[in-house]
Order: sequence, then C-alpha cells, then structure tokens
Amino acid sequence: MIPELANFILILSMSLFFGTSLLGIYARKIESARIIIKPLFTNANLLLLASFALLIYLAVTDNFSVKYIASHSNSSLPVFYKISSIWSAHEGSMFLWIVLLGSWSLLFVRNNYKTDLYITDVLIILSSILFLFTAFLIFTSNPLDRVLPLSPIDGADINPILQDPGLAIHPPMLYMGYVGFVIPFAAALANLTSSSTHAWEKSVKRWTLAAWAFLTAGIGLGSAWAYYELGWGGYWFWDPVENIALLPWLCGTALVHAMAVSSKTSNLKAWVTFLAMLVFILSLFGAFIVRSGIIDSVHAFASDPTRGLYLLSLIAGISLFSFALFIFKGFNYQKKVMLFGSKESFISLNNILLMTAIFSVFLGVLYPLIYETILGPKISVGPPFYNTIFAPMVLIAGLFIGSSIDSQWQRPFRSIKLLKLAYCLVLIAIILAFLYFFLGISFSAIEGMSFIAGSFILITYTLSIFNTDRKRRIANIGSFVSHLGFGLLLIGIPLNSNLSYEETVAVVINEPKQTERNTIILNNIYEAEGPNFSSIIAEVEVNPGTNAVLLMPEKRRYANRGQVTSETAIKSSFLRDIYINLGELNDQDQWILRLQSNYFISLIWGGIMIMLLGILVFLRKIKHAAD
Amino acid sequence: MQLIKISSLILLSIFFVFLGGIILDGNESESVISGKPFPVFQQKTLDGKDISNKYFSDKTVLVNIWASWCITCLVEHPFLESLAEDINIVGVNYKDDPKNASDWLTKHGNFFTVNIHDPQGNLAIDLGVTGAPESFLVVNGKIVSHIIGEMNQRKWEQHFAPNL
Amino acid sequence: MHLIFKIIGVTLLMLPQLVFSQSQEFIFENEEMESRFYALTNEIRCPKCTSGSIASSNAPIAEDLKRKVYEQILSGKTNDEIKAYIVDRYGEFADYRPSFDSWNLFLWLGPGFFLLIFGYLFFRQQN
Repeated sequence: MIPELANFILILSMSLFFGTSLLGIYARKIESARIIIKPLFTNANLLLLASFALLIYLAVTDNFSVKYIASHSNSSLPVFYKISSIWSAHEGSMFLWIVLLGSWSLLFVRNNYKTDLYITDVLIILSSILFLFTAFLIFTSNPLDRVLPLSPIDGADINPILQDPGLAIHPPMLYMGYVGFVIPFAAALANLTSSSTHAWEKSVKRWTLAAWAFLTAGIGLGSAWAYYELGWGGYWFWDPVENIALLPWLCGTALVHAMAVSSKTSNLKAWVTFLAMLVFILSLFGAFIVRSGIIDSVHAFASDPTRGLYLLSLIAGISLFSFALFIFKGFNYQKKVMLFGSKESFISLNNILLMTAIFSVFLGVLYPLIYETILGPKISVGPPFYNTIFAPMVLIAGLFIGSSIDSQWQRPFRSIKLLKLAYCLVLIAIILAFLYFFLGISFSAIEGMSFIAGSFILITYTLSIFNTDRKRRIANIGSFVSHLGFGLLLIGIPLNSNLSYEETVAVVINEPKQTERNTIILNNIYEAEGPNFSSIIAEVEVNPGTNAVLLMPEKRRYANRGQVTSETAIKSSFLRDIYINLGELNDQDQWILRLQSNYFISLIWGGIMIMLLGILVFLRKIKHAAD
Repeated sequence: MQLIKISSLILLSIFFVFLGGIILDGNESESVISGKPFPVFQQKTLDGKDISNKYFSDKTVLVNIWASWCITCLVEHPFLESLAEDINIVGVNYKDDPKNASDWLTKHGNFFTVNIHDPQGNLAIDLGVTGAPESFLVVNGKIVSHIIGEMNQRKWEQHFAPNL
Repeated sequence: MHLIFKIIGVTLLMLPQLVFSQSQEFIFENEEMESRFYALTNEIRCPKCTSGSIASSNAPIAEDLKRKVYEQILSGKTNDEIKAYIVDRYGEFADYRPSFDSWNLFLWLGPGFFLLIFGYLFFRQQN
C-alpha cells in the first residue's frame, strides 16, 4: 500500500506544481490571486518531501516489492547504507535531485515576504521547473514502481565497493551545489520578465555562495574519495564526469565574483544575469550528460533514448527560453567606465578567463562526440589536453588575483604598487632557482605556471597583512582566506605532480628489496577473516631503520559475489604520503607491491579546506549584514 | 545586431538538435584494423606446427579469438559451429594453457581449421584485440571486418556477410 | 564492471576496477626510464574500459599493454614510437593526447579562440 501512497503523493505534488505555475501566470494580472500561490507552492513541496520520506521508509523497512529498492538495496545492509542506496542509481538520484531542488526553492521563497510581480515570477519559474522534472521522474524513471507479484526476499546483491561513507554523502553534497544554482537562475529570469528594478543579485548572493560552497565541498569530497579508495594515487583524472561537474563550479566562481562587482560598482549587471542563467543550465546539462550515458558511448542510449531525449528537450527549452529573453529584453542600465587596474577590472579579466575555461572544457568533453559523428573514428581527449590549456589560464588568473589585493574599487592602480608586484615576481624567481639548484626540482612548463600563480597569490596576500595603510588592510577576511587556500592548492598541484613517483617491485618475505629511492621489506603476509570477506594482509616496512614506516595493504575477497578488492595502505605526512597496493603472487613466489610516493597531497586537501573555510566565513558576514 | 542575436539562438538550437541526433543514432564505428593486411607473425599452432601470416594470403577465413577461461566464448560456440559449414574458422587461442584449451575443444567440439597458440596475447595485440571473444573476417590476407564480443546471427549479417 | 560504472556514474567519480592485480614487476635501469614509463601509461587509454588510462586499470588488456610499453622502453624505443605502436593497433582512441593537426586544430586552438571572443565582447562592452 505504501508504495502506491507515495506514488499518489508524488503525482499530487506534480499536479500542484503545474497548478501553481498556471495560477501564477493568472496572478501576474490579477493581484488578488497572488496570496494563494505561495501556500500552494509550499504544499506541493511538502508533498514532494513526504513522498521522498516514504521512499526512505520503504528502503529502511526492506520493502523489496518496490523494484528500485529490490535492485539496489539488501536486507543485510546497515540502515545508513539502506538510505544511501536510494541515490545509488538513476531513478533514486533523480528523485533526490528534485527533492533538493524543491527544498532550496521553498527555503528561498519562504524567506521572501513580498507579493510583487517579481516574486510571482520567481514562483512561476520555480514551480514550472519542478513540474517538468517531477513529470520526468514519474513518466520515465519512477523509483516507486512495484515488482509484483514476485519480489526478491533479500533484495539485490550489493557491490561491497558501494558501501563507503564517502560515496554515500558525496552525491547529496554535489546535488546541493548543482540545484542550489536554481535560485540565482530564477531570480535573474524573474527580474527580466517582471522588468523589476530592484537589486535581485544582492538578495540571492548568499544563496549563490552557499550553492557554490556545497559544490566545492562535493567536488573536493569526490576527489578525496578517488584518492583514498580507488587506489591509483590520483585525485583528479579529467574524466568526463568530473569535467561536467567542474563546469558549474567554474561558472559559479565567475558568478560570485561578478556579483561582487555588480553590487559594489553597478558594472556587469547584464553579465551577472547571463552567468546566473548559464550556471544553472550547465548544472542541468551535467545531469543530462551523465543521465543519458552519452559520454560513456555515443550509442549507449540508442536502444532506449526516451530519458535522454526528454532531458535534452527540457534543457533545450529552458535554455532557449532564458537566452532569448536575455537577448531580446534589453538592459537599460547606465554604462559605467571601468578603470583598468581597479578591483572590478581584475575580476572582470578573470571572468573572461573563467568563461574561456568553461567553453574549453565543454569543447573537450563534446569534441570526441562531434568527431565520431562527423568523421567516424573514435578519439579521446584526456589529461594532456586539459593540463595544457589550464596552465596558462591559471598563470594569468593567479597574476590578476595577486595584483587585485592591492587594487581598490573604482580607482586606478597606483603605479607605486607595480614595483611591489615586480619584487614579488623576483622573489618567485629566486625560489624557483633555489628549488632547482639546491633541491634539484625542475618544473615542466605546465607545473611551473601553476607554481608561479600559486606562490604569487600567497606572497602578495601575505604581504597585504602588513599593509600600513589602515583603511586598506584586509577588507574581507573570507575572501582573503579563500584565495590563500586557492594559492596553496595551486602550489600543491605542481609539487605533487613533479615530485611523486611510483615503483612496482616483486618481493619475497624477509628479503629487503633495494630500489633507487627506497628499501622495502615484506615482513609478513597472512590470511584473516572479516565479517563478510576473507583477506590477505601484508606487513610491509619501508626504509627500515631511522624513519621506518609500517604499512599493511590488503586484498579482500567478498563472500557473496566473490569480488576481490584491494585496500590501499596509506601513511600520510605533510611532505609525503606512502601509498602501497598489494598485487599478485607471481610464479616465482614473489609478491608484487606497488609503492607510490605522493608528495604534498596535504597541500591539496588543505588548500580546498581553507577555500571552503573562507567561503563559510564570508557567508556568515553576509548573513549578519542581511539580518 | 538583431541578426547576430537571432543567429546565436539558431546556433544554440542546432546544437541541441545535433545532440538529439547523436542519442538516436545507432551506428557503431569501424575498427581501425579493418582494411589493413593481417599482421606479420610467426607462431606455433596448438598441436605444435609452425604457422605464419602467409597462411592467410590466399583464403577467406573467419578468425576467432577464444580461450577456455572465457565464458562468452562458450555462448557463441554453437553459432560458430553452424558457420563452420560455410567458412573456414581459424582460432587464436588467447592467453590460455594448451592443456586446458585441448580439453575444452574435446569437450565442446572442435570445428577450427587450425588453432594458433597465443599464450602471451602478442598476436592478439597486433590485431587490436581487447579481450576474448573477438572475430575477424580475413579475405586474401586482408582484414575486412572486426567485431568485439559474442558473434551472433545479427552481427554476422550486419558486419561479415556483406563483405564475403 | 560496466554495470558498476553505470551505478557510480551518477556521482562525480569514475570507477576503474578496484582490485590491483599486477603480476609483473617493472624495474628500470634509471629514473628517467621509470618516469617515462609511468607518464606514458598514464597517457594511453585502456581500450576496453569505459574510462581511464592503462595505468589506472587492471583489465587484463591494460596489463598486457603496460608490459608492451615496458618492453619497448627497455629496448630503447622513443615515446613517439611507442605511442605509434599503440595507435596503430587500437586507434586514436587509445591516445589521451589528441594529435596536433588537421581536424584536431579545432580542439587545440579552441581555447585561444574563446579567449579572443570573450575578450573582444568584453572590451566592446566597455568602450
């Protein structure tokens, strides 16, 4: 009964969203109708939440008559993973996506007490989007469908790899980011349709920042999960799915910076509107690309193209509508001259770079599709392409960020400051020379560009602490901290790439193996039993003697489907992570070990966390200002 | 100005139509090995005789990559057997133990004209093989078609039969 | 494995096979060869996997190709020769670095083109 109830509530919610948007259009003219659209919208959202809560209940109580739960959950799972199994596949994660979209919208709308045309239009836009997506869910991918009359007793055979806390919290985090951008999107669009003159971007600034923070955290978590769980020692692979997640992040970055400009100087008004539209459309596009399976293989969906086509037409409709509105509505803001060297000019220049980055990544993701369709053969665009194009952009962006700390809003750059920047560059040259002559580190061009950008930011920002000009001391601690984090990330990446190395060796128990840079001993290797797996555990000592490190890489064989997984052993320190994987026993009775020395991973995670911290500090400040 | 605005919207629409076309399109792209001569090699057959690429220079054969550990190979086995009445099938025993391979053939039936023993998978790599099973159509020393995975009626009619 | 990818594909991550099943050691005469080996195997795409290089895959074919790269590095082949060897057999698909010629110029020069467009649009707005 409960699945039917949940389904019914979901359909009711969809109908209410539809009703809300229709009534909203009516209420644009008839002001007296406006008071009921907000409650209607609220109720539609509450129904949506109720339906999702019922699905969680069904999953927790092991109701395997629901097809989706039967094929993605198992009665032996802990409750936590029963819940997270809901977003482990297409239907459920789409549901979560929509529920989060609704929740953001509801929070935003409930925070706004006006009933003017602008908020009416916001409601129309939000409820239309929610209607279209709930319809997509119900008609093409309903997670509440039953599998009757024969339902499995214990559910599905669950892949042990999926039982990972990182994997359980990472998708909601990421989706919070993606769908949070619906707020600036709806606000920008409503501002155009209602021809309102109020400062919409100020009212959505903190919403945008919050979404951006979630997305930053989501991408960071995904990256950390890849590093700690996948066992390849990498944290970013320029995989299409990663690239697709990066697009809204880059656009969100451009947007929050452009919003700062437009609220401080009233420059870039039209640009902010454009970015607010683009960022949500890119999020939708990410959902489409991943959902349609179009990047796995050009032909993945030829057998059942319904979902892909539905999503594509949705996105096509939404983006054509909003861009047409943007292009034809016209802006009558008075143009302001932007002084070169002012803070807003640096931000604008970096916005140009971010746009270039977005379009370039987009091109990189779609190029193989276009190539195969037009010319026939398959082609791959991978890390070498992205690293090559990102390095120069990062270099220029870093120089602008570093310079901007000495700039002011609507003031030209003081030439005396140029000398200081030149000194910073000289200092970096000295650092590079030192690294080369004393530590033997010679960066490749790509690594060097990122290193220069990162250290330039760190040096200029650190120097600004000692600024004697009291008025111009760090104006904004949140932004200051975030940029420091970004600088750390930018020096961590090239140091990691330059210094890290990998060794694959064959070892025999108790015989030290001397490689060029390490000594490795396999002290012991034994079998052990886990709750639902049996494992082989190796005790490996690296560099015995003064700075010995003991690691225990492991190989597990899971009982229920005989799947074998490798558990990487990692010994982290600030400078270097020792990262060991246990391979196979070869025919000469030697065990294969792969030892990676990954340097400065700490700077990468630290950089991302400091960036996040800065955003949170900034958010708090805006909240205080808003209260 | 108006023209630029309208054309940018049209461009965007074309982009979406293009993506839609890709979703609906079901053609698979050709393997890079098609059209090339059979790679030069010098190896043993399963029963220990010498064999080289010269073997293929004047025949039309189906070359099948298989192994005793490969489950899909067992699935396609009956279909290949039915094909063997009309075309010579040369097996490439891929990364396998000769003993296991012979047992497998005895148990499931041996319709191969000859079986090339490829324990390291070296010939297979020269053929651009990614795993077992895969099949090639070789006409007079030239590779004409290549399919990955199980051979069946549909793939035979679509990729091999037209090139005979 | 493909199924797992589909499942995880919902999230940001790719998921190559999670078991490290290397059964051969890679010992080199010098660090230069070693770093070339790891750089190359990271640029060659695993032909059987949904995504990922042969360095980050344990599909049997990825291991075989790693062995081939290893042997060729030991026998003194250059990076270009090794890449050509792979591309000859598995096509451009196996090379994560698209060649810098003909059609691919659209790809490689794209970023510069975008920079010019956005730069131009921006400065036109200002003046």
